[in-house]
Formats: sequence, C-alpha cells, structure tokens
Amino acid sequence: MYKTIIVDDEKGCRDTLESLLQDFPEINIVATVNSIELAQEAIVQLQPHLIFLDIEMPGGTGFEMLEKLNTINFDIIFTTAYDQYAIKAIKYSALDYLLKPIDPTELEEAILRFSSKKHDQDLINDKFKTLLSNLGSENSHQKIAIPDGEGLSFVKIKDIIRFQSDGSYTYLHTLEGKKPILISKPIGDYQEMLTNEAFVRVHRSHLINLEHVEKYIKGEGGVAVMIDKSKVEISRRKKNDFIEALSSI
Amino acid sequence: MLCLRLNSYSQQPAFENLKAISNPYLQFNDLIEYNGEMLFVTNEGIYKHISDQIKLVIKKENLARFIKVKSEIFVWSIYGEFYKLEKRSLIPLPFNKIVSKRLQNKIINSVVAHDNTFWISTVIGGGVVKINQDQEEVKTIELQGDYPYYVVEFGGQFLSGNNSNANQKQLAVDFNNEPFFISLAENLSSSKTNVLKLNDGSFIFTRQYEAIRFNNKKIINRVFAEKNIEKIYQSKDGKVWFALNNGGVVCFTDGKFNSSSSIRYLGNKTVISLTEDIKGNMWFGTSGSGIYRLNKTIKINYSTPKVFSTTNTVTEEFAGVSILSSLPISDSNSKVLRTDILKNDTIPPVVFVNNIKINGVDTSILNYYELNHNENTVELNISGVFGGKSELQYKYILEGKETKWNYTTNTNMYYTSLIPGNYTFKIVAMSDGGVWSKVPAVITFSITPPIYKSFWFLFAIIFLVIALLLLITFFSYRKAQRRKTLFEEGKKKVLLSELHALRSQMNPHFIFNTLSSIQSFITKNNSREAVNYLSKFSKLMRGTLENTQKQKIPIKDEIETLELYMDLEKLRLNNKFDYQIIIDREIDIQFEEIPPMLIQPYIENAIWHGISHKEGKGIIKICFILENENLLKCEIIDDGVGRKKASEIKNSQRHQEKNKSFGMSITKDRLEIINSLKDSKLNVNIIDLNNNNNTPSGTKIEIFIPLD
Repeated sequence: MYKTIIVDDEKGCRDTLESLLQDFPEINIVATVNSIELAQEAIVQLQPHLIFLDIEMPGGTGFEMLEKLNTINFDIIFTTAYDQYAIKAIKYSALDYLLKPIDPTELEEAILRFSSKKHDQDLINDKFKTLLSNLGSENSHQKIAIPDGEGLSFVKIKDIIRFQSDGSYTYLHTLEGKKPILISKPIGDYQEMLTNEAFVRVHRSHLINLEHVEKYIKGEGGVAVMIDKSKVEISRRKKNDFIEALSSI
Repeated sequence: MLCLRLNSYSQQPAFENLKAISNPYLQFNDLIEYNGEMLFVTNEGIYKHISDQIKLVIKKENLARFIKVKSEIFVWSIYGEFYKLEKRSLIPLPFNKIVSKRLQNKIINSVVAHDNTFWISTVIGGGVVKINQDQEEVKTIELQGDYPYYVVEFGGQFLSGNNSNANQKQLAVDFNNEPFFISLAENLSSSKTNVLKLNDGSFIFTRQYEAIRFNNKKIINRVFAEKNIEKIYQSKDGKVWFALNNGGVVCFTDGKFNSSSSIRYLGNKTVISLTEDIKGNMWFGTSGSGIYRLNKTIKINYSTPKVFSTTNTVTEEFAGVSILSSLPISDSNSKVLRTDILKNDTIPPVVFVNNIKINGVDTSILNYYELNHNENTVELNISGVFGGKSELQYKYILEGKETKWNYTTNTNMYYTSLIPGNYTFKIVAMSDGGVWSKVPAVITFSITPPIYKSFWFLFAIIFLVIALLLLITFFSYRKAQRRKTLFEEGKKKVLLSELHALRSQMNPHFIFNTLSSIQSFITKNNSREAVNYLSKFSKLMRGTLENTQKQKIPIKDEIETLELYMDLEKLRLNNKFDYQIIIDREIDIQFEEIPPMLIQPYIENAIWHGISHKEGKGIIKICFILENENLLKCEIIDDGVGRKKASEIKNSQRHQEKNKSFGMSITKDRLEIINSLKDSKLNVNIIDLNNNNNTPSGTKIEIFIPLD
C-alpha cells in the first residue's frame, strides 16, 4: 500500500483521478488537496510515497512547492493539461507525468512503473535536483537523465556529441568520457525528447548535436565530422534538413 | 678480321663531327695543317687535333687566323697582334707595337704575307699597313671613309679595293694599277669580304651573300648564296666551297661556280672556316658546333670530279686566302677610277610581268587585284629584256609578306596560302654589268579577309552576345523576383492552408458530434467508455495542435493521429466500419517524415461519402508502401458506394452536406503549394474501383509523398 496524495486546484480533475485510482488497490489515497500550501502541510504530516502533482496552480506551481521542501522522499507523477516547457523538463529528468484529461491506460502504465521500480532515495533526489536545475537554466545547460547500466546518469545536453543506434539500443557519445554510454532505449526516444534543441536525426542511426559539428564534407548525403573527429554519415534525404538546421544555429 | 675491317670501313661516315668539347661559344676561326697535325684557331686559343680529340694547347683570346710564311706559322688576333707559333707557345712579333699604333685598335679584315712582309687591312676605316718582320719598312696606305678594305695578292697580281664615294654599289679593283669596277647588288657596307684566286686564273669576290667571279677583263658570273658568306675556298680537286653563316657549306662541284652543280652540306650550321688536309679531307670549323671533317675516302656524288693539277706546293695551299708568289707587290690608290670600261653592260634591262595565275587560273594582267580570302595562291611569270647575251639576275620582293629582296635567275615566282592583307610585288632585273632596271615591275593586290574575320562581323557578334547576356540577366532577375514573391505568397498560403487543415480536422461537425457521442456514454452511465473516448478525443486535439506547428512529422505520429481520428469516427457512426493500417516492413516509421495532416481529409471523405451511404459495414484500408527509396505511396481504399453515387446523393442533399468535401479541396491546394515551394512531386490519384459485374465497389486514393 502506497500512501498517495493528489494535488490539483480543479475539483473535476481531483475527482476523476480519485475515481480512476479506485481500480488500483495498492494505491491508498491519504489526502486530496487544492493548493501548494496545503500540499506542503500534508506531505510533512503524512509522509506519502506518491504524489500526483498538478503543475499550474494559483498561488504557485508544483515545482515551486518542491523547491520549498527540504527533502523529497517520495515519488511524483506530474499532471498537466498543456505545458510543453514543463513536460520537456520532466522528461529530461526521467520523471513521470500524465496529460489531462487522463487516459486510464496511461495511468495504469504510470502506476506500474512506480510500483515496479526501486525507491532509491538518492536517485529520486538526483532526479529532482536535475529537474529544478533544468527549469532554472538555459536550454544548453540543462541536463538529461540517461539510463545507463547502473542507474541514471545526468548528462548536460551541451556535452552530448551524438547518439548512435544499435538495434533497440543507443550509444551516447559525450565530450567527457572516451567510452560511449550504452542506453537501453531506442534512438527515437531521444529524437523526440531533444527535437527542439540543436539535435537533428541525420541518419537512421544517427542523432547529432549541431553545436558539435566541426566540418561538413560534401557528398551524396555528405559526412559530418564531429568535434571528437568521428564521422557521421548523413542520409541523402536528410541533407537539406541538416544544412538548413546547421545554418540556422 | 677481314669482315670486321670491311664493316668498320663501310660504317665510316662521310662527315665526322670532331666536336670534343661541347661548348656553344667555341668558334673555330681558322684551320691549318702543320707537320701532319691539324691546328685550330678559336676564340679561346689554339686547339690541336690529336687522335680524333680536340685539345686546347695554347690559351689566348681574340685570335683570328693563321698565316704561313715559308715553313713558319704565325697567328694574328682581330686587333692586329701577331705571334709566331712555337711548339707550345705564342711569341709576339716585335712590330706589334707599331702596328697597333698605326691601326688604332681597328678590327683586322685580312692579312697577306710575302717573305717576311705582312700586309694588314682593316674591316672599317684605318687602311692597310705594310710591314716587314724586321721593321725595316713600314708603310701605311691611308683610306677615307668607314668602308671595308682588303688587300690580296695573287701570283703576280695585287688586288685591293674599297668602294668609291661616288658610287657605293661599285667595287673598285686595281689590277696592277689598272682600275676595274664591279657593280654590286647592294651598297658596300661594313661586312666581311673574301677574295680568292681560282686555279683557272679568275677571282672570286664575296660580300654578304653575293659572290662575283671575274678576271681582269670582265665579270664571268655572279651567284647569290642563301646566307652570308663567311669564307671561300678552292680544294685541290677544283671544287669551290662557300662557308655560310647559318647555312652550312655549299660546294660548287665543277669549279665553274654555277648554282646548278652545287651541293649543300652541314644544314644550317654556321661554318666560319674551312681547309683541306694533305689527304684531301675537308675540314670545317663552326661556331658552336665543333669541327667537321668530310672524308675523301667516301665517294660523294660529284658529277665529274676534277683532277687537281698544280705546280704549287702543298704548303702554298694552306695559307688561307692568300696564295704566295715571288712577284713584288705594288701599291694602289683607290681614288683612281675609270667607269668606261665595260660599256656593254651599262644599258639597264627592262622587266615586266608576263603572266599571272590566281589559284592556278590564268588571269589578265592588271596593276591591281582585289582577291577573296580563298584566292590566296598567286603565280607570276616575268620576262626581262636586255641588249646583252648573258643571263639576267633578278631581285624581287612581295611587300606585305617579305622584308628582304630575293635574288634569282628564275622567272617564275609562286606564292601560296597568302593571308588576307595588302601586297605589292616588285621585281627588278640586273645585267651582268651590274646595271639594275630603272623601273621595277609592280603588281599590287589585296586579299580581303573572310566575312567572319571582318570588323563589322566581329562587332555584330559582340553586340549580339552582350544583348543576349543582358536579356538573360534581365529574365533571370525577373524570374528570381517572381519566385521571391511567389515564395512569400506561398508562405502565406501555406500558413493559410495549414490553418484550413487544422480547421478541417477540428471540423465543428466532428468536434461537437464526437462530444455528443461521449455525452451519450455518460447518460447511459458508461463512464469507462466515456473516459476512454474522451482521452482519445483530447489526444487527437493535442496531436493536431502539435503537428500543425511542424512542417514534417514522423509517419508514426501521423498514423497515431489517424487511428485516434478513425476510432472517434467509428464511435460516431456506431461501428459502421472497420479499418486496417498496413505498413510496409521497409519503412522506418519513426525516422521517415511526411507533411502532417495530408491523409486525414481523404479518410474523412472515404467515411462520409463512401462508407456512410453504404448498406452494412464497410472497411477502410490504409496502406503505406515504399515505392522506391525516395517515394512513399499511401493508399486509402474504401469499399463504399463510389464517387458517382456519392455525388448524386450529395446533389440531392445539397444544403446539408455542402461542407463535407471542404477538407479534400484544401488538401489539394496544400499539395500544390508544398510542391511549388519545395520542388517536390506530391501527387494524388483517385481511382474508382469496380467489382466483377462492373458495378462500383469503392474508391482508391493514391497519395505519392516524396521522402526528402
């Protein structure tokens, strides 16, 4: 049984979520609150395992509430109707979120993810730290959570040179570390995540950071020489996209 | 052994080049045979020929010629220094100081010697100095004018001369105080002269390329060599040799000094000295090309080699231009001139053009011709009229092509491949007496350039090219401007069309009917379905909002949107249709991207115009097929009523269904705009499907989407 708190300023949303969570016996809703002040109080008093936290609320965002807490010893599933900027930050930090109106299937998946993972206190803190720092910094200084073999690494986006796919795995090449990091996620996930940054999927197998392109060698599609001297083939069809993107940064 | 010897004999070349030193500046000024050895005077010193090698034995600059007196050999330099040749050294003669004082560093033209008396003449000015080795007698013959002077003494006769001031084309020759005048083709000028006495008693005088043979009464004949004559020589067999500057050697084989019996050797080398050794081999000294020996052992086709008969001794043969005799030398004064000796030759000949052929065709004789550029072969035949019996000499020039007169006895002149331009042909005849025609025969003609070389043609071409360039620039500028405005307009249109596309997807019919369908779940208390469809609806709205911000989205995203859309339409139509989405295994739907919302309007159309009018359940198939590497084909196949029936129904219910095809026309516009902006080839085919008994069985839409 996980002690769970729902934080949302809209009554309809609280009610819907409450009713949908009836289907999950392991979730024990210990409080339902409509503001961050009340939420803070409830958290301190009730020591929950999980919080469904709405981001946009009058009186302060969910993030602001988190900043005020000394320690975060619980998991959070953010809920939001439409906030691209926040969603991006959450995704980078490898935290979970649900879009409103809530899709029961997605809710089920989120609960499953929550209940099946280790509740490592340090990791949770790292994630929040990353989230909060991402929210407060320029795009290029933001960090992205990378699931490596041991857990999560938080890599600065500006340090990423490129991703290279290897079947359903992906290799990450960064400025630091000579060995690439092997990620057990397909390259498409990162393409989706980083699509508004200076990243371009130039090839079926390559997602590259345009900031680290040192040279472009002409050819049918051409070859991008990255800062670490690695050569990345550019798909003929992506040549124009690549050159256009390169000239716009 | 015998065989070998024969071989080596037969391989012995007629000419041997004895150039042992590859020195292009080495000039062999004179050659002499002395005690069975060949000696050479060069600009660097004296060389010796030892077992077919040429070796410098005495180093001394400015040496000019050898001169042999009795059995002693002397060498003189171009500045009049005299040396006696001892074994390995040159001993200056005591009179050098006196000579140099007299000649004042004038360049020496020739030297003759008799006993121990030397006659030294200069090339320009100065005069002649007569001096004996013991300096007992020194005499200077002063001369006027800067003209060459020469003194030569032949077996009892003394020949000296210079030009007279009165007529520079005349050579005054003094035979024992009997003046004799020889007319020259050109003015005397400061160039090298030669005088040689031939073994028949006549003399040859050469200057530049002109050679005149004469005796004490008259001119025998006259020859023009092709190049300036450096030196002349008669070998023991009677042949006369001319060493030429840049023209090798000419040998007149029968001693008659006639151009028809001459042989040329040594190409266009500059031969400056020549002599014959005791075996009869000819030796030639060149400027920069070493020494050549023409071997007597090799038979060269002479017509009738003359047997050389002489009363002279061998030693007398090798003293250069001078042939020594025991007779005394008399002085002369060139100022004594008589011009009335050779009367016959004083009447000038007349020359005229006989015949002209242009391009091989006889043409009437005119003074002036204007010829086309292809009429460029001109042949002239001339005639000379002259009172005397002897052959006429001619000189002619084609001004515009040639800068030098040509000398000939030939009466045909032939010019071919003349380039366009103006030409004047002039010809003058000369009698043996040296009298030139008073008036030259003149023919003028001009060859006009071909039209493509003429000025105005070139001008027209340049003008045309410039005009063309201007036109091209103008049109490409206009095109660029037009494209720019088109592009701007296109951008606006794209935005507009995207807005329209958004509106079509957010078609109010669709939105509100979907919401009322969800409402029906709620009223029926089916909250699970209500929530399910509501989240689908919200996802579709969200996806539409996000996708419209992008030019291209992954196929995967488009498919997700289509699924949501069709699920909701299915809900509205009470499960009236099923759908299938078939994706070519080759397509990486996450990687490949297409413009968003292209396909949805066609599906909407299939549902509402095809399936909705159909009795019973329908099916919509959506296939993504990779046509080729760069082309995606999307097929939307419905098994509805077909286009014809749909439009009939539509017309009957006009007012109600008016807006239904709105989405499709918008999509067509969008395709056109995207095509014009991106130079791509998005294309849509609509195919009416029929079943076996030829009744309509649905519609197939093919959308071709380039992947780039």
